[in-house]
Amino acid sequence: MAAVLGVSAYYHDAAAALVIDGRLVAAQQEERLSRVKNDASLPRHAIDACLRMGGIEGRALDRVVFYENPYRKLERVLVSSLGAFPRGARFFARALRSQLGEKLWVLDALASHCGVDRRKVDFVDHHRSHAASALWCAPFGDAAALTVDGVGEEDTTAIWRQGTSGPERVASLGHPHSLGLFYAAITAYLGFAVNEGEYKVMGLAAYGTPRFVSEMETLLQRLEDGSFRLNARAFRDHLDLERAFGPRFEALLGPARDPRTPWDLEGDDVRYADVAASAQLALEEAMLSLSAETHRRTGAANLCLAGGVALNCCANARVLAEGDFARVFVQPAAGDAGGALGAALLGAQQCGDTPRIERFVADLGVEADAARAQEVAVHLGLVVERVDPVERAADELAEGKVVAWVRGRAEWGPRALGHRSLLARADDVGIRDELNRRIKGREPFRPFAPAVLSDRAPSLLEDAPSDMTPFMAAVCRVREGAALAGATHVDGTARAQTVGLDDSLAPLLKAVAQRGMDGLLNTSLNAAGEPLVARVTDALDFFVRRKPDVLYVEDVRITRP
Amino acid sequence: MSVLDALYTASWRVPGRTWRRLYAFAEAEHESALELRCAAASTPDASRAALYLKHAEDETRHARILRRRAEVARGEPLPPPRTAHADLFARLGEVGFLAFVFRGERRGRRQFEAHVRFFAGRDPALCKALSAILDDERRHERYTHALLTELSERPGRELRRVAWRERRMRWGRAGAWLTAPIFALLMFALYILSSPLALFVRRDAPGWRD
Repeated sequence: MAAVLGVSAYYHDAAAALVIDGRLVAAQQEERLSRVKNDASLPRHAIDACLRMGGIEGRALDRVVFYENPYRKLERVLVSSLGAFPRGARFFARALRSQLGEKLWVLDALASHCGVDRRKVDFVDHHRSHAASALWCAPFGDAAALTVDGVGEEDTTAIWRQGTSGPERVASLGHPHSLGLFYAAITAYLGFAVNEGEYKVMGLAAYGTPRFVSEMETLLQRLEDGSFRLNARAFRDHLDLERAFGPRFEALLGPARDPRTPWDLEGDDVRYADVAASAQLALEEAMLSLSAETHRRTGAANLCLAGGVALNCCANARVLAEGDFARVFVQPAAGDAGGALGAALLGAQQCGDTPRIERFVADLGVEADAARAQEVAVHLGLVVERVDPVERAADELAEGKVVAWVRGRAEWGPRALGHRSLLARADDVGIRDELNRRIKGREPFRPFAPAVLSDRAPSLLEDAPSDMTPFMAAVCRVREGAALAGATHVDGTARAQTVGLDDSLAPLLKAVAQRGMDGLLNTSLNAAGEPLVARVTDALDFFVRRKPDVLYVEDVRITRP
Repeated sequence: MSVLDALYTASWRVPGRTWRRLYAFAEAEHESALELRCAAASTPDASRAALYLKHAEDETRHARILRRRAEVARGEPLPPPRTAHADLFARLGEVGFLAFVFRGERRGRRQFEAHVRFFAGRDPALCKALSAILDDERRHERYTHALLTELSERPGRELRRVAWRERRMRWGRAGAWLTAPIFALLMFALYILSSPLALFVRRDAPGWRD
């Protein structure tokens, strides 16, 4: 019977998760509350929010667990910069400054913020946190886990089986052989921000032809044992992660894209779309090899994927469709934020509790306070009324309006799943373009996702529903005749969300089905470069600035005068 | 013209300084918007939350205008400002936060008045943009002062406390600025001294480690 807080921080996507008596009570990403995208700082807001949601004070915590070993990480960073002598001098100084400045003292900082004895603060390994977050949240047993990301302490990839005392490591790959770093370099090469623009590469890939396959094989060579080798001389992540590709990389693929130029996918940018398509293909093939090796080594029936690379929903779909596992699950915050969840579950187990998550749901964040939204909206001079939100919103969606939809607790993970969403007709391409340009302010090639009722999913989408589709963790091919054109990507796929009949978005989907719609376009309630909205004041701020047609906070309908 | 005015206006004359200065203003406005959004979420009073949100909206608009003017001055696009923030509301409490914002707005208003005077005959478009921002700064200064007076029995003391804190922060920044090159030099020396260890560094071989 223990209260355990898990924390991830200081790389990207800081978060906190609270487990009480083995049950997951709350999980919150820091960026949603600090409003700084991918906020990596110590998640003070998120910790406080989790404690509030759990109804306990910091000093009542039995354990606080950090998601990685800060000392081994420091060692790897120093060794890596020494290995790059003499070019690593600048990186060495920068790394030591950040390590000595805050990262090395993270356990003390956590003890101080939570008000707990320092001896109650501990850490677990990075990839073990990822594996725990996936295995204990999966809806099935008899599972292996495959964790794939940039780099943890030293590992970049690891295979796990569920043991009696949590995940047991079967095998791992070491730095620099990393799919995460490979994709990060491609992301930087295409002019996107590393650790943020990876999903843009995935979206862009659909516009290209994979004609750089042999170049990709030079960069990322698959080996017979299912692993891979990264051509480290073409990369420079050990010198500068923001520009993780080196001159050899550019010699192979041509000059990197200038991020300041606007996109022209019918002109100069075709080559970059082809590079994205080739990199995506290389990543998917590597994931299939890793999945096959995981199956060979563990013999498990089912697979859990975790780590930043598990957010690649195209690769996940191929692992399910073409791999050896019957079922595949991805916990929605598969990246570093999810490490906080895994750390909390591992801490609970160390305290003698059995982690119990019967049915994992993603609404684990801060609650929407409708009364507060109403009060603040009135003071902002907005028009406020209490209505039946389902019927009224369904009518407005049918009319072609864009609806900001805030209900219940905020989502855990990068996807809006009907708790902090922008909703619109899914069959209208015009609304999609309007959303991208006017409200979201994103690149024109970025796709939207449809939300459909799970019982209707098989008639609208191939390979749906699956264990991943409730969390938008895999793409599905849209069937011919499905009225989802506005939420279908250029390659005929969609990162669909299947909504169970007892989920909070189901009544609205049923209501729009009565009005002749197959589903809804569901995108995150945020503008480009901003974190997803969590609190009602941030929803109001978004509504005032970005001007969707109407905002619903529970049953409070808010419009402009 | 005060000495401060003269310094401000002189700083615009440094070649290549204009766009950097404008972009730094955009970053400051963006940071202020983040602080105000956190304040709106944290204050218990709905009317003040609404005021903070309106203020944040102004700051976001200012950041957009200033970035655009910086791009014009530079002649090429610039990325949207990205900054962290100091979480002032949580650290100072609402009264301290208001005192901090009021002082910042007053300082900003004075700076913008000097800038508007400087650009009046030189760059009418920039002058117009800065004038529009100046109007907002005056309004922000008024409402934060009114709130500070309403919430604090001794607003003067709060202002002095915040002024002292700002001074400490300035000294801290100056210290960091001065010690950064020393730290870099020390680290470089340490790196050179550690260089023989590079001979022992082996990259992990590809393939599985069981």
